[in-house]
Formats: sequence, structure tokens, C-alpha cells
Amino acid sequence: MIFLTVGTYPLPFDRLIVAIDLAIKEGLIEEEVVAQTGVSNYVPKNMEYTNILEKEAFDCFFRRASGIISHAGMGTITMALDNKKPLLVMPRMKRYKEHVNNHQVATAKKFEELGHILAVYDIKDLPDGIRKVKNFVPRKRKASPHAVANRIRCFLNSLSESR
Amino acid sequence: MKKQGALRICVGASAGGHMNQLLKLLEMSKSWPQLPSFYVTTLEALAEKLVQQGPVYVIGECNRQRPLKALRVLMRSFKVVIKERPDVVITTGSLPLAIVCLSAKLFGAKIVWIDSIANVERLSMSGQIVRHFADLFLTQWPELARNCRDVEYVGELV
Repeated sequence: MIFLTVGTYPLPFDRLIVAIDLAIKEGLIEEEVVAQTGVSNYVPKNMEYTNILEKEAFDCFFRRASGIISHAGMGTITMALDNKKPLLVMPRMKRYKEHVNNHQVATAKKFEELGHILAVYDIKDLPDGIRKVKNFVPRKRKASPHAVANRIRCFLNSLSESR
Repeated sequence: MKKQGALRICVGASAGGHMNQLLKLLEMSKSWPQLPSFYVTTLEALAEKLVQQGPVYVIGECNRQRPLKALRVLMRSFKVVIKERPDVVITTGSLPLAIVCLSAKLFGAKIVWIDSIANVERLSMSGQIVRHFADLFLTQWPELARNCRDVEYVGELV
């Protein structure tokens, strides 16, 4: 099963959903696809979909999926890395009113460059991305949340002391 | 006037990646002097995840293209702030939480802003606003902290 998500961002991302729906119809994707479509307007004809899944259902589909296709949102990128899932992203773009700016393009490029995800930036490259993602092994990411938490602990301690 | 007792900590994040990053931070927050007193997020579906930890307020989504929704978020933020009177707000963004920061700051709260890791090339738009009044401002990319005295990089949440 492939899980398609365009996140919870309050703007539609029909471009990706339409393209995937078409890819299923044309036989480019043979696996079952389940989608979270957010506030998108297009009604998929070839896959099961929900606007916004409850967290539990979302996690469940995510874990079951053999691959993830999504917008270049950090929520999905993080989850894919945590769950070691191959992820193909297409960034939301300002030009199509999918986001208020193009920061998703920069996010996609950075994480693609680091070997964590695959990315396409144009609908016409999507079929190629779909073919590649099947065998993609994401590079493990090292984060340091403890360092951030420690910095905030110091800040909170200094606040407590000054009271 | 000095306040007595424990710090009232508010933590919050928009649904999606912002919330993922906040949850990663909270997993590491055991060493903080206090646990958060309450939580703020933007979608009901997210509230359930947080509700075991303390009261959760859902203020709704908005972006800068939807000024009316932003106004509603502002009203809700003020309500939350007036009721809970946080001493400090800790957030990973985005715009709805920047509005919470602004509301809380007006009532004297300290602001800790962690700019989302999604902002690779420049700070987020919300972050650029909050930066003017934040008490601790963190980015998750070392390049973005370079040459900025008020922006710190200490690591990344994800």
C-alpha cells in the first residue's frame, strides 16, 4: 500500500492528488493507494481518501505503507525518516496558490541533497519519481533534540531564578 | 512586581510538522524545572494526542492570506492568555502560534521561538516577526544563525 498525504496545511494541493489519481488509472501505480487530502478540492476516483485522518489512523496507514508520497512538509519528512519509509515529495508552490511562499522547494532540495528523501519539482517528473521511490533507501538522520531541550532548560532556570 | 511560585509554561504548535518537532522537544523536557501547564494547537484532531499531558486549547488554523481567520485566532489567543496567564510560551510555530506569542507578550510572558526546520534558506515569515520580541530565538540550521546576534543554533529537533 502507498500512503499519499498533502498534510494539514489549510490550502489545497490538488496538483499532486490529481496526478497520483491519474497514475493509478494509467497503471503506473499498481499498489493500493490511501490518501489524506486535507482541504484539497479534487475528489479522487481511483483511491480511498479522507480529508484529515485521526492521528491514530494516520500513524497506522503510515506504518503499513511500503512507500509514502507527499508534499514537502516537515511532518511527513520526519515521520518517514523515523519509520524508515521511502518518501517521494513534490513541494507545494506559491505560483499555484498551494502555499504562501516557496519554502517547501528549499526544504525538498535540502533533504534530497542529504539523501533522506526523493523529490520531484514538476508533475512531468512524477512517473520517474514513482519508479525510483520503490527501491529508495533513505539515509539515516542524526538530530539533537536533547541539545535544544537543554538550551531551553537553561533559559527556564534563569527565568525561575530571576523571579 | 515579582511573581511567586512555579513558572506557568505554555507550549504550542500548529498541526503537522510544527507539532512533530514540538513533540520531539517534549520527549526531552524531563529536565525542565516545570512541566508545561497547558498546550495550544490548531486542529481538534491533534488535541487528542496532547490531552493526556494537560489542558489543550485549539485556536484554529490561519495564514496571512486569510485575515479574517487570523482575527479569529487572535481573539481565541487572547482568551487563552487571559485565562491561563503563562509566564513563558515555547513554540515551534507557525503563524497561529506567532499570534499566541504576541498576545502572551502583551501580558508580560517570555517567548521562546524555535523556527521550524522546514525553513532552510531563511527564517520563517512568522519567525521574522516574532524575532523582534522573542526572548530566546532558535533556528535549526547553523547557516541561519551566522551573523545574527539574536538567533541561536544549538541543534535540531528532527
